[in-house]
Amino acid sequence: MVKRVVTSIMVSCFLVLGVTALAFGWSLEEAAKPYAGATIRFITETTPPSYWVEEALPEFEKATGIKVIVERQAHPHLEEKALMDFAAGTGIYDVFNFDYSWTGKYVKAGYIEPFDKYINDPKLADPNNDLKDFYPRMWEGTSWDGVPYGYPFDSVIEYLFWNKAIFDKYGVAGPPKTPDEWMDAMAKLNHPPELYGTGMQAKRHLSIVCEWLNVLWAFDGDLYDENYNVLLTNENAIKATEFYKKMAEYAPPGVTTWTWDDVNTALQQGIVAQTIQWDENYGSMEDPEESKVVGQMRYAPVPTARADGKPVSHYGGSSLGIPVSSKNKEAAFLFIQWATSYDVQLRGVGKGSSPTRRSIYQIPELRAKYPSFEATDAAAETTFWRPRIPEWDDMVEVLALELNSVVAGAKDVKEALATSAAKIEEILVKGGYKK
Amino acid sequence: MSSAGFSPYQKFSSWISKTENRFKWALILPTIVLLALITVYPTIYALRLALSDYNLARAAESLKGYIGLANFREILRDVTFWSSLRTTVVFTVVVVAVEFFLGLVIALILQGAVTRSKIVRTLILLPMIMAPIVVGLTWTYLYQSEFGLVTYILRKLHLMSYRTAPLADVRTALPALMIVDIWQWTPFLIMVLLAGLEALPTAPYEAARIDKAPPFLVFRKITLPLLKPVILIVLVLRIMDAIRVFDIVYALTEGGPGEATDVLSMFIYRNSFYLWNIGKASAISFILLYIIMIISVILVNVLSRVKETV
Repeated sequence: MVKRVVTSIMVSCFLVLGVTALAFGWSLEEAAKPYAGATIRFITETTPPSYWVEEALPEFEKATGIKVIVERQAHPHLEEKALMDFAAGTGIYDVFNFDYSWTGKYVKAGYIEPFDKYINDPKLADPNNDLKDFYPRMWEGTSWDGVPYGYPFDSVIEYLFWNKAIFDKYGVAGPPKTPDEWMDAMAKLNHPPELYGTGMQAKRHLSIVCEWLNVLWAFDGDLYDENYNVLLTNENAIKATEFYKKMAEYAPPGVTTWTWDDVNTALQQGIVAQTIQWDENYGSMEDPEESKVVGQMRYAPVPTARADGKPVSHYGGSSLGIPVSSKNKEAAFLFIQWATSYDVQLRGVGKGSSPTRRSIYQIPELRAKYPSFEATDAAAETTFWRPRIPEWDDMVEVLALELNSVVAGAKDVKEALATSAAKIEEILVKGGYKK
Repeated sequence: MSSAGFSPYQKFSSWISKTENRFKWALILPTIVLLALITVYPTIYALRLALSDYNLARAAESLKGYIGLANFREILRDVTFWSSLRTTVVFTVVVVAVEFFLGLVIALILQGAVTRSKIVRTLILLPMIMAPIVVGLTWTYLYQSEFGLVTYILRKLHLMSYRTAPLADVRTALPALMIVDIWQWTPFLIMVLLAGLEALPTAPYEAARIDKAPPFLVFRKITLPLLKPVILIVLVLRIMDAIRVFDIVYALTEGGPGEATDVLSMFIYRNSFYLWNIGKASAISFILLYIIMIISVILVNVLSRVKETV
């Protein structure tokens, strides 16, 4: 009897140890052995996390023997290069940084790999990688019809960047909570040409559409309802766009040629008191070599007049995926897993990393040092997002032209919205969403 | 003597001429094959694309193949196409006219001793040999809304308000682009017209001097008619180039603000690389090709008639 008990205890011990050994047995070095010597190409956007990953890259190359070539491109050119490669099936790129609004387009075209087969492969997947740690919205953005197509890489959420030192200097209470308070602050903080009330990303570009969407949502508007009825000619859309146009009165000259890059420089130089900007740029505000506003920037949701009181921000994040045409898919997966890991995201904080994992935003020391962390953590749970249907590109084209014309004074708000509504309606009908 | 009438020499020469003909073809063949590969095949392929519904981003589901002239019909109904065509025409007419006028005046001034100076020639050539993207970036900084030198000078001279900037205003963006093109390409006209002026025969000028003809009359009655072939060639080249202008528009404004600088090439680019609508983009390219061809044919015809009269 005693013997049996001892044996069963020993067996259980071995089982426990064995399982533990399996779990702890996974290492990047081991997993990468079959792929050592491979070269993978990573095409990404010229965003802070891309720079950070490139900086940390030697350690991945040393651990795995996999060489990674990083190619950075501005937002539109990233797609230009990648799409050419995918359509021709040449297999130049192995890792692809894609905007969540492109997910549907690439999945439907059959250009990117479903991720479950890699996630479920015990040889490749790190058992300690907690996928539940990614913010749900970001995970959803990476997925299509419930299937993931990558790992969230860049948390990009657009909300208000406001310079507390400037607000204090002019005795303006911040942050503004309602559109009225917001416009009032812009007027009070506008002292050209040294200081302007607001920055704007009003170029005929994706940037103006993203920025304006915040204002549209803040006025309880939207592009279309759940039945694809276009809502751009209603009162809320008109009010929002009139508001957006009026903002230009307190913005620097030339904002009709500005994108997120120009707005960032203006924030860093302290020539705009506040503006809507993407949270991934928080690190550049605190970099003493580039920024004149170190320690001054604060972050808040976009001022809103919504009936439901929901805080407004705009999710624009991106994920790392694997093109179907890639010839080094396993090595690419190992790289993606590493680049989006807790450890790499954590160590890059302040150096460009724009974490997509909730746990990093909870670290008290980081929250104290980077005020954007609290704002991003709050926004990530509630953030609004733009359409993800493949026809989104066509809508951006229409809206960028019409909105830019409004800000440039070439078109009246109602006329621009009516034109946009008619064209978007046509796009939705053509796409088969609306009869 | 069955083969009477043909000497052995004649027979040989007839044989060689046939062979020579074959030999000539053999020599030309590689060039024909190469041309077919690099120009004829892509053109036919582009025509096929222009007649199909081909969207790169939806390749898997939307390659419905042949759709006839639907792309062309869609383009002709598109108001953006017409406005970009109008912008292209305005751009071309203004820049070519100004470049020609400036080029001719400067060429006439520089004619003579100065032209032999290598420094002057190098200075004139400088804008032309710069890479288009460098030109674009340099001018982007000159026109920058906060610290751009041109913007600064315009504001100091009270020619531009502090509320706006050259590339940010729908009224000034196109003229700003025209200035870049004029800056870059006037030297080309100067050089070609100078070469033309220097190659003119001296006899008519000596006759005019003996007759004590006034300079303006000499220019109108001698220089201009003699220079006509050169002028027409340089105009053909510049018009074709200006209609296709892309690089400076892309670098400076990407077609904005609004539709102010949306030229045809930008319209094609937008359709292919923002919207991935390769079918429609190919169709617009064909329309652009026909426009350039028609203008070229007209100008070349005029040129050949002028050559006959000269």
